[in-house]
Amino acid sequence: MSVAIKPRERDAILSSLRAGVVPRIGLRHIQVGRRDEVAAVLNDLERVGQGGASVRFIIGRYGAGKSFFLYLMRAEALERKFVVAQADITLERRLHGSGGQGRALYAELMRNVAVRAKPDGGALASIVERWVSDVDHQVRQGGGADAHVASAIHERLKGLQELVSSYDFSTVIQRYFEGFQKGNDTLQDHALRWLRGEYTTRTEARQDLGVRTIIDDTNVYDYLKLFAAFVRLSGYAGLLVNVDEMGVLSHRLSHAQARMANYEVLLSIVNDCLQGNVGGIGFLFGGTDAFLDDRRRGLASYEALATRLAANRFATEGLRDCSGPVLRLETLRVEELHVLLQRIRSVFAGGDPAKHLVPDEALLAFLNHCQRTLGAEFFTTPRDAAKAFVGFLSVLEQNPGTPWQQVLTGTPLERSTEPDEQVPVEGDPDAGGAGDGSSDRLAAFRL
Amino acid sequence: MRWLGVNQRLEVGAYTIEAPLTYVTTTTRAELDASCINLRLPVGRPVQQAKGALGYWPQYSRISPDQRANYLAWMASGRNAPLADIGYAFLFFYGMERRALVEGQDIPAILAETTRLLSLYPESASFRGYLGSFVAYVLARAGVERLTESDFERILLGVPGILSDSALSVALAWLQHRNQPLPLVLAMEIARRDVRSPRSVVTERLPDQFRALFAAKYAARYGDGVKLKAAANPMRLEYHPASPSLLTMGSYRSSLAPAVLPNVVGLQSQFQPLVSIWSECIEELKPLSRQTAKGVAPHTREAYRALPAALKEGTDHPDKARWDSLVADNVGEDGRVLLPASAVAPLVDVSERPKLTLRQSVDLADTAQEVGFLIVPDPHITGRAYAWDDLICLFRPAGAAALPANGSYRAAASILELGMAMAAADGQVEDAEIAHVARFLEGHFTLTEDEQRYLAAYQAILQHRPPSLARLSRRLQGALTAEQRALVGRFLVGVAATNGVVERQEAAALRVAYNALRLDTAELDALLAELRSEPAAPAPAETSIALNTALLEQILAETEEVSRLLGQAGEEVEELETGTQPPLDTPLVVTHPSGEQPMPARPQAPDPIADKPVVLPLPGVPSQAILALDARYHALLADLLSHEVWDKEEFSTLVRRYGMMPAAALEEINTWSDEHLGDFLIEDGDAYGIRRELLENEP
Repeated sequence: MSVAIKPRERDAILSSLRAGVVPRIGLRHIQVGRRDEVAAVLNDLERVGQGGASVRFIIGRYGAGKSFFLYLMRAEALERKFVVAQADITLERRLHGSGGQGRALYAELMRNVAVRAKPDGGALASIVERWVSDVDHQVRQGGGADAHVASAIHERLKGLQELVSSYDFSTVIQRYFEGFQKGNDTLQDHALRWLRGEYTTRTEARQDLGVRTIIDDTNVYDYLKLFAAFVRLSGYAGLLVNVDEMGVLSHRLSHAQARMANYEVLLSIVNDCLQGNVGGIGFLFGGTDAFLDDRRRGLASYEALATRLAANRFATEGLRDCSGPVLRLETLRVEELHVLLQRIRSVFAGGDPAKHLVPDEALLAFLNHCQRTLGAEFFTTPRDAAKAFVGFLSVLEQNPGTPWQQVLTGTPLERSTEPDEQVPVEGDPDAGGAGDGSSDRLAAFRL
Repeated sequence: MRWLGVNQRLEVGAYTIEAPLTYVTTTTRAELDASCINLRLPVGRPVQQAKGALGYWPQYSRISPDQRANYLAWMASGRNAPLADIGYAFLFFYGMERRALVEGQDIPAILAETTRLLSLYPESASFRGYLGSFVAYVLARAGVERLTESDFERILLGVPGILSDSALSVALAWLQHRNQPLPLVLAMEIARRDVRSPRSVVTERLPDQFRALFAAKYAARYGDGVKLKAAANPMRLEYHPASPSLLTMGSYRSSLAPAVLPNVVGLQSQFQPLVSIWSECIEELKPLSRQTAKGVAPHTREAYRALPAALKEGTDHPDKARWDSLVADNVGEDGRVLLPASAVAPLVDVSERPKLTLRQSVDLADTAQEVGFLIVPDPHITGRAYAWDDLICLFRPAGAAALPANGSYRAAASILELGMAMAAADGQVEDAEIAHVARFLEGHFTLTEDEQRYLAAYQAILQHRPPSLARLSRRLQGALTAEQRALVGRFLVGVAATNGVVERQEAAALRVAYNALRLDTAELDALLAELRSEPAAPAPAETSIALNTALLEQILAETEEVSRLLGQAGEEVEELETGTQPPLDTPLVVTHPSGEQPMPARPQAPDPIADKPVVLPLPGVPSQAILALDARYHALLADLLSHEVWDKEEFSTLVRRYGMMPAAALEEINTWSDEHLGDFLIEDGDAYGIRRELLENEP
């Protein structure tokens, strides 16, 4: 049975693919295969929704579709009433740092925090207001006044007391409500700024909000746990933290001690999630094979993590085990690319098979065209083929009646450069330098 | 207070009431039933009053003398007269409710009267809800095993509007107890109420087609119907009385103990297939719904085209007679009909023009297929529009009319075109040349019987109107690689040489073709020289990617599975949120802040929106959907819908007036609308836009 595709999703998918980036919405319409991996993460989400925790490392070669997978799971989590925070690791944004890098990662996560009604991020105010609104509503239904609401906020947040800095967190939420009561937008902005981890000095925070602590490099993970507990209180299913480009830690962070400090944070997360020390939070980390397996620089170089993330020895060739924390994404096969083309064609047709712009044989002809132009392994990095195919169908859509064969031969295909080729290796004088260069790379579409 | 039953008569003032089925008294004691007619109370004259003037829980002793006159006049009419206020029927019902449930008397007569009233006054959802629940409770209390088949059909299936949730539970329990299949009408009702079923305007816009499609699918899957199962724990059916007298009776709860019956509703998984059928019907009828919304009449070509396949089977195409007549007048001995496009185009309302548009051509081909013919050449395959004098061929396929689906046919058709063009190059198409092309096609393509007939029809056209070799070659030049073009060139030489001689004209045509294909004519000369000693018929072969079809199928199946997994999210959340909502039959009334209801009003300046009740459902918002939105947002939503655009300041002011926070309200309403209307209702930009089209379109 065909599935109708919303115009909003159709437009977003096509414009993103045309630009070579991962669409933010409607990803399920172009998802191909990955049944076991998707089911595994959906199980994780269910566990988190029931108060548990999970951590997964999404590992694959360049072009295997890690970023796509993270975005797909992000979209699904939003559908399932999760709050999702997403960010990419860069040299300036890491799990741990001594110069504000940890706080910068937290700030980025909070800026990008999304809920179903705000899928593009910037949902922190919505989350806070939703909880405060509920408390306000309940207190007023019981005949309470503004003062009662303020004390109820503290009262309700007592449940977070076991977590670090919950008192200041509670105070900041109260300040936000106070700003709302008095129509003081500045006070509300200060509160949001604190929650986003954008205060760099305690003095400033004390002056603006009367709190003594701020979110800094040393407590990023603690505040993520606190925030996860808060979103659960607010009625959401839980918090999903998506962190991509983990390979930056292993292969662009040249300082071994800094790398190990980041791996130690990862170890804490893995331990907490696997041992059940935290609840209502899930982590998805995306990285390349080298990030995981490189014995000199990757997670494999850190013994404690290596043993926890080791593959199941019984899952040898042809057998897969999705129960461990590591999910390895295989690169696409040509048949999977064929299915992807089918799905893109369906997106163009709005899900209506009667409106397909080209017949099935055009898909095969297009693959042949790719093979001739891009080489035999073109299907392992399908970004170029998908982008060209969207262009191909766009031309046909705008010129009805034109034979697809005629358009196909004129469809240009360009091979993109594999980013790993540009990554500096150990000993490279540029390694660990300020020029990150990953932001462009992160915009690349990978299936 | 005494009861007057079916065989008695009551006279009050000027009114004579046969079979009163009510209590009467001559005393004025407070504990009397609300419906009890006090013969000492004054009776006025019937008056016209505004709806609702009777109040929510009317009592005979407390209504005005004129209202008593209204009531008694209605009673005297045999309780058949039209009612301006359903409250009078409720007032009468209170007495029967007490008689049946508290005193346990006259139950058959009361059931008969209740079902009669339900048939007479089906407009009020509240009335239907209470009376339906009453009937269900009475039947369940007596025991479903005592309900006869004729009573089941007469009461639970035959009375319109009786199927409250309780009545449906009783009906299902009876079916399960008797091990009888679930009839279609109940299957649809279950699917309609299931929170997992999508809501769509399709069901209201196309009720007959929806019913027919649902019936066809239900019968195809279950024959006579699903056999029901009951959950392990029995259902305890509770009853909430309508009468204010019963509600205030301290002992009524003990009189109205829950009735126990098989819990069929508790086993929700057995209804999932019905939900699937419901969803499929909506999806399949959406194209027709869109056409209907555009004003397309039901018995037209466009409407027929939008019908689901299952409904097309039992429906004749509206133009079928015209097509049949045209074919009958022009059919040849071989069963084929060769006609110019100009003869057929008027059948799809295309008037004379040099060339049809591609859309018109496709429309022509689609219509031919729908009336049972295949048309050759088909623009779906060729991608080309018909010229007004183009020859086309019509024939009836052996089975259902379906276009050749596989790529082999298209390749074969291209070869045929080339072959026929080459054969005609010397001015005449010889049988040997046709035979050569046919042999080549047979040897290189596996075609179905219909595809062969299709190809033969195409050949008949090409024989009359051979295509231009130069044009075909130019087309192929753009579509084929150099290697493939070389193979085509050799094939053409083979066709030309079939009769043992390459005529001068044929050689010239080959040269034209080689040039058009951008092939080296030196190769042609070499081939022709070679042919002088031995004829050859090279076969084209294409080097291409070989797909592993088994793997492809597996990936497709896996992808479908993933889509299903991912698609479950919406359903699960919806179920979670709508599962505990009150029944639809009960109208919801909310008031704005500073009204009497305990909304979280924040005292502020005098408020222009105060005291404006909002009665749900809101116009354009499906009632099932509105129930899923937290009630405190209903009034806000009603106000938001009054404008198309709100600037941010206005929006904030409005939301704050309801004691809410803007971002929270925005999120709550958009989350709700995304789930229930299909997209975000409030568009967040420089200002907030209200997307009213979501309300008007299908959710």
